[in-house]
Amino acid sequence: MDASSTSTEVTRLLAAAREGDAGAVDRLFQRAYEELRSLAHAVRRDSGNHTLNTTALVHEAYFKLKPSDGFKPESELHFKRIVGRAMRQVLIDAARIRTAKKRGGDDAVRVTLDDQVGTTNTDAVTFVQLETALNELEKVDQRAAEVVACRFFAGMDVNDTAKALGISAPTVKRDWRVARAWLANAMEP
Amino acid sequence: MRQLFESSLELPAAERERYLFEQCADDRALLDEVSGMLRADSIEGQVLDQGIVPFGSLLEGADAAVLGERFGPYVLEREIGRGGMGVVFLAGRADGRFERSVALKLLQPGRATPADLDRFANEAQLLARLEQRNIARLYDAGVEDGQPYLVMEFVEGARIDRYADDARLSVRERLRLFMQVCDAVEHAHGNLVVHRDLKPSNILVTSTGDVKLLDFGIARLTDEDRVVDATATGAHALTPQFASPEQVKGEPLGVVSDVYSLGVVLYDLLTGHHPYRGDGDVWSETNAVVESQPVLPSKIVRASAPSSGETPGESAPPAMAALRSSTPARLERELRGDLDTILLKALEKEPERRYRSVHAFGDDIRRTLTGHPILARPVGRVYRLRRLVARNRLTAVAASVTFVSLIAGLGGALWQATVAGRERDTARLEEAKARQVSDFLISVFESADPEEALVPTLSAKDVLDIGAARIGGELSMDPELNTTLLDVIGRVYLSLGESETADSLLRLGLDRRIERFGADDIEVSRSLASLARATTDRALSDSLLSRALDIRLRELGPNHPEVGRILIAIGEVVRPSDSLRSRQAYEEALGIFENGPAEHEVDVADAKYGLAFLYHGTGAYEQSERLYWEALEIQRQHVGSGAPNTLQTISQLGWLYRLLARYEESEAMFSEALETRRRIYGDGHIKVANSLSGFAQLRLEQGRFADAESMFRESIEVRRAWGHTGLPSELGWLARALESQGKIANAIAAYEEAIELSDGHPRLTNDYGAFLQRAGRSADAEAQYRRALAAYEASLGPDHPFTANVLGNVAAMVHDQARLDEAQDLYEASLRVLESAYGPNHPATASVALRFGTLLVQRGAFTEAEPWLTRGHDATVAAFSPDHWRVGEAKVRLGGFMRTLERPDDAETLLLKAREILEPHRGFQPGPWAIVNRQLFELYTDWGRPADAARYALPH
Repeated sequence: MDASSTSTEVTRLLAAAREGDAGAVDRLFQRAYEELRSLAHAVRRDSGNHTLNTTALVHEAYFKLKPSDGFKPESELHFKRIVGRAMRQVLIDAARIRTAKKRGGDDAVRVTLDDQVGTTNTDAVTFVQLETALNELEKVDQRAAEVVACRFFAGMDVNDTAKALGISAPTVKRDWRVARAWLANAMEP
Repeated sequence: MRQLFESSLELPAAERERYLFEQCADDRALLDEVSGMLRADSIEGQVLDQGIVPFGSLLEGADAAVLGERFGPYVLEREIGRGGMGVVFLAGRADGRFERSVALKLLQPGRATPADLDRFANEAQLLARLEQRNIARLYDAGVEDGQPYLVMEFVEGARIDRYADDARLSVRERLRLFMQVCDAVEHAHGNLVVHRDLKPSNILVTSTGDVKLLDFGIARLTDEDRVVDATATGAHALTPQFASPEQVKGEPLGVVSDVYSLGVVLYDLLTGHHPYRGDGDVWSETNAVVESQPVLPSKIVRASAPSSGETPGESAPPAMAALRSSTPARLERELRGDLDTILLKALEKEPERRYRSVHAFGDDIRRTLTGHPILARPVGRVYRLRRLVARNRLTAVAASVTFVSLIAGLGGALWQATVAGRERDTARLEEAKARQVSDFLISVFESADPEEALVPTLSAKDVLDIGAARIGGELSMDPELNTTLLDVIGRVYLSLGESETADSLLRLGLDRRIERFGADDIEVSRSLASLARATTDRALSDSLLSRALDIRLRELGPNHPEVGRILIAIGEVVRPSDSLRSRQAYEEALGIFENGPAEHEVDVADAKYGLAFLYHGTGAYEQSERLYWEALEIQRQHVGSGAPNTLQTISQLGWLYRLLARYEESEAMFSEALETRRRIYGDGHIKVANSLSGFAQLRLEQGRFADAESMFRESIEVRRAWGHTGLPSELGWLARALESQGKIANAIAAYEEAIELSDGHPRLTNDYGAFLQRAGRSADAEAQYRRALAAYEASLGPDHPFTANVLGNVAAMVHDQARLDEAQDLYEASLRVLESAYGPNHPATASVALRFGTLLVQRGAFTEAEPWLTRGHDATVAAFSPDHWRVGEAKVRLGGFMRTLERPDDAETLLLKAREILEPHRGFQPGPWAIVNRQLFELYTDWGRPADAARYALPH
């Protein structure tokens, strides 16, 4: 599928999504997810050892997928949120694989020294805890959780978050503060 | 919660606690939550503060593949395992074309180059062909974004060891389960795939009790042959407990490496322990694989010391036994004997000492299951030496009645170097026996007619004859002395070349020893060894020696010098028929003597001589030369330069140097051997004749024909006196020497005598025919060739290549006499056999093909002639050195054909080259030389170049 047909497709899916087509949202999500995966893959191979900048990844995925003729303003934010959700999924999948490493597997002694060198497993554990806490937060304060999704995963600023969620900027700030404290407390061991 | 949190924030920090207490009087959880939030709110650097950037690390590394990611048509569903070689996911087809889930393994890509990835794909294709019910299939393999992956059958099951423990399988049940593993590995080996990483975690058992082996050959995909350099980055994962010594050492792996790993798996399965007791540290385990001997399985199940890392209770003998529905004592009994032997054989450090195949391993397990005796023998040096014993031993040899057959085989020549060790053995008889023997011999002298006895002309042989007669008849003599004397005197006769007398005495000695000591006594082994030397029938000799070796191994153990001597004798006897076994026998002997005391120097020399002789025959001339010299040095120092063995070695060096065309060195050797033998044995001795033969052949080759002739003549005179069977062959050589000097009539006489004495030996007759052919007497040559042909047809049959070869010679003579129809039939018959026996490119086939091609040219059948001539030419060029006269002859024939085809340029090239090659051989091959000159003369004449033609005008 070439670039223009991709962007047409994204435009069409976004329109459908705005009309409440859940399937269209899923497909957009899948598209974003795959884009992020392959971007991460490509960056990983090029850049060697330094840490991947996930925020940059989100931006790049967004710019790669966005229609060439531009979005309507509300579509743009809508799509950014979808990319953010995809990023969140990419990260949680990766984190689960890493934390899953401890269980099961082969318990024989191994000589391998190159096995997963330098992976900081604490990041994975933290991320899994964050995900769990965020899911809990959604139950008690959905809007605060949405704010986290926009700002943290989709990389939006306060104003865009406000626009995307249809609330005021001070509300975004307050929600953020609540979410920040709530999540930190919930993740406390 | 939110409301409480936000209103608290509006209060000064000091008042918040009290406020919360008031608000949450009856809700302790809410109180804790909000106060926790307030605390978190005041702390910097909470999880949200840095954004998602730090979590980028989750996406790094080879295992960052994420569920949902696609590889080819597959989508990862969930992770199911992880090992050093990669991560395994459950995956499904993204296109939903198949319901079945597969296991998708992502391999550590490492620093794979595109070539590596190509190899990966090729190997995977081979592995994908492995189809057997106990092997998890490899469906597909690919590379996605530089990430190699494998798609395999998804197997749900338990590791074999855990499955067996959970089911409390008994030893027999475990063996039956393990047979499935063997079947799978055997199947793979049959397809040339070695697993390389067999271990319990790669062997699963499904809920239906079916074994499934995972990861067949995968180890090779990720890391060609390089295994455990754990210090190097990227070294591939390996579980040292199950790796073979060669694997740990990084040596090439084969099917027997899998045998070893299977041995460890079975050991573990049966005993619950690892064969080596390591302290759990990787390095010490790696060392143990190479250095430690495995603990006997039946012993380890009673051992109380648990291996490290396990809780004592689990590995305590009663618990281990209970998992096998047994008790420690019973388990020990079950494992002792066969299973101990089987496991130790599988776990041998040296690959060549293990079961040679998984099939053999499995077979022995099957035998224990069915109560049959196993084939593995308790391992040890004795066992290894026993393997050198002849396979088709004549067991009846011990019974004296069978020795009739021996007598029939006698009367031939001594085989070379049988003298080795004979005198020495005599000298080494135990001192007491030696004294008894000398006493007896002295008594023989004394009892002889005093007058005669004092006459110096009474030979040692005369004395022996008297002695032999007495020993044979004197039944009152001490039986042990009697048998010893029979042996000694028998051997003395043997050294005198009187094989027949020797044989009957030795046979008598053997009978008496068997009678006195029983068939398995060490004394019997001595008689067997002596008798083996007396017979020219190598197969019989082999079986006698093998029986002697059996006795000695049992009575004396593997390191005894007498074992070594028998090994040397075996090496000698099987040298022409089984060079590998011969080499092993010599090398084992060498091992015994080199590690023994210095007094065995002479035996070391014997073994080295034997090896040198073997290498001489197999074309390993450098080793041969070195070993001859090493043997010679020892012999000169320890037995003297005149000793028979020393002279034998010197002669052999003469032959070797002659073969290598190092004539000066050859001459030095032959002349030393000849001079010394003349001095020691006197001119008329057969050994002098043997030295003369070698020297004379050297002279012939050097072109010193007159010298050769006189030496051959002297050798022939000696042989006539000794009635030696080498006489006809020597006459054939004489004929060559005579022919070379143009003494044609004398040569004919020599050939005719040779043929008569050998009763028309076909090789000599054929040689005679060739001689007559060279002399231009085609009709006489044809007659001789036909005699040889008849003899070969009678002895070998018409379809033997020797017969066909001679048939080709007959055809050539018929051709020479211009009976073309007859010649054509004969050529065709000859070529049919030669092509089927040797193939079209053999030099023998080529030689006949060239002649046949020439005949076809003469008949004008150019198209048919061409393939015979070109193929004959090419095969000849390929088979001989470039300056061999046969190459010249082939070029003449092809060149002549080119002339016929009116291709003068090609003809000129071939003929000029042919002439250049043939010129040095003109004396011995006058025919081709004359032809090439005539061809060139005619070529240039036809071409209108008379000046060039003149240069090749036939000499007058």
